[in-house]
Amino acid sequence: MQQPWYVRLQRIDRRIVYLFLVAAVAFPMFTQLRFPTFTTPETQAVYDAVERWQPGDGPVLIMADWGAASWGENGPQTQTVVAHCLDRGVPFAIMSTGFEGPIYTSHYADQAAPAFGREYGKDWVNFGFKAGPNYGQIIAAFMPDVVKFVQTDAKGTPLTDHDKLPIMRNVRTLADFYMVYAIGAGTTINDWVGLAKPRYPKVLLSYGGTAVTAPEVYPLMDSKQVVGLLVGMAGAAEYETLNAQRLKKELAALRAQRAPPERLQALEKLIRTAQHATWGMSMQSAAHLLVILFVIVGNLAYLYERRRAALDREARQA
Amino acid sequence: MKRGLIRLITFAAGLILVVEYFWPGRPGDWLDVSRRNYLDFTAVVGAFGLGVGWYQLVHGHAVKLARLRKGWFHSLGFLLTVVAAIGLGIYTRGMSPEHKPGEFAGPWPQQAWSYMTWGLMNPLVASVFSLLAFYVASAAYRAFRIKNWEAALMMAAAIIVMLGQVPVGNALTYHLPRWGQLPVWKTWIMATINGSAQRALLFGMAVGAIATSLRLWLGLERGAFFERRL
Repeated sequence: MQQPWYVRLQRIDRRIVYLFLVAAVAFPMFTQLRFPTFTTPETQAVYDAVERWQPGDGPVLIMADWGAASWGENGPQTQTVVAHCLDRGVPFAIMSTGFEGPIYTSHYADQAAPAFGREYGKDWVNFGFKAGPNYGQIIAAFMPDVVKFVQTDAKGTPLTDHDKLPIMRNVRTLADFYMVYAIGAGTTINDWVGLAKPRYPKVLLSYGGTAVTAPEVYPLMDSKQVVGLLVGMAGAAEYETLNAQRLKKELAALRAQRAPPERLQALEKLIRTAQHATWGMSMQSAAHLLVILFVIVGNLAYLYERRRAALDREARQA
Repeated sequence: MKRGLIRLITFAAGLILVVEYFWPGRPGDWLDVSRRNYLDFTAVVGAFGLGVGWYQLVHGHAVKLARLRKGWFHSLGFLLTVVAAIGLGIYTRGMSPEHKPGEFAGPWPQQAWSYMTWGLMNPLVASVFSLLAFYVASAAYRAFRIKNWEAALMMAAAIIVMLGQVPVGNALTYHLPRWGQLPVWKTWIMATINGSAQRALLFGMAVGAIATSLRLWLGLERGAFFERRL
């Protein structure tokens, strides 16, 4: 006997759900649908922290503890902050405890540097990855003596060679850094808050995490231990929007100043291509809407089934 | 005797870190040097631990392959991959200190490493984690049922956060006053309600971690080396 419609509506085959999800995610790809983003205070706080940097404040440490698994969220979070640092002339160092993060981050820096006339060694350095039994122990060993712990950059250049790596001239301990921007799929920021903040309170901490792990960091923001937070791909899209507004003004100014064409082309390419998260948010919007729709449909059918059962019981008792 | 020695070493090592944390020394003094040497030593011990782990894995799969147990071809695939990954990784280390993602040029070992990493491993890893989206969609549809008012409250909060997180939520309500906009509600839920709950969880976890750490440090923990006859 065929089940009633309200029971079938609660048990739609999961393959049909998957097909709908594929269609929903693909739709914005072909229609180029875009929606305006809303910049949250936590993303604005990270952006403002980079904007407040002044020469003499020290470099930013980008801890790229992510890989292909969380590239969708952490990749754009890294790319957009790297572009912002290069644009403002904020020097940064790349490090990680996994091998993929520094490779991707360095690639983003290589892509964006020509647009701003930046050079490796002067404006950024790649420490590579440092393996260890425990993330906290790597940080604990890194903080008091950066040069002794890292020794060489990813290309094998000693950090003490200040001719090739002038960025390392005034860097000895974590205190010489302006900010640590920890990006990852796990809450690595907890280790930074626990180990680095008590000893080096002036070093700012910020976090770029997946949407699943980001909720755990809100108490740390409330206590001012973490200055800001990028929540998943949405946070990256918000940051990209802030970046894009500034980059477009800069492009107009450079055109007026008749800057070299290769620099103009590099900046135009960066504005065009560094929009992964904004593009991805259209698809994520469609996926969220679909999941909400399915949940509502399932619950409406469930509530109707309960109501029918209650009415049938009353009818039998009568 | 051996158990006592292990307890003593554990206690002494922990004592260095605890004393140095609450009484940080000046750079270069004996406490600072001891702490750094200790941390370097743990990194070395950790590397040995990695080696032990690798030996266990390779040994287990090699035995399975040698005896042709059920699923031996999975073990063969694992061992071939391990040999290829480690061999190529070590061999190409001197060729180019920086591997760029998606770059397949260079000598054949480097090309092989690039194909294996950027062409095979990364897309596979990304695909596996992308499958989570389908599982979440299917599980949310099947499991989220409003059976009582608490479930209804949770559902409402989930819908507000899900819509507020994406630009569609902003597009639906951006013309409303600020207090009526979905992203503003979402930020309030995450910062205030979620923040409070997470803070409570953090307190509980921290207290538990302190208790467990104290037990380990003082050798009060059962199991491992503390009860077996050595």
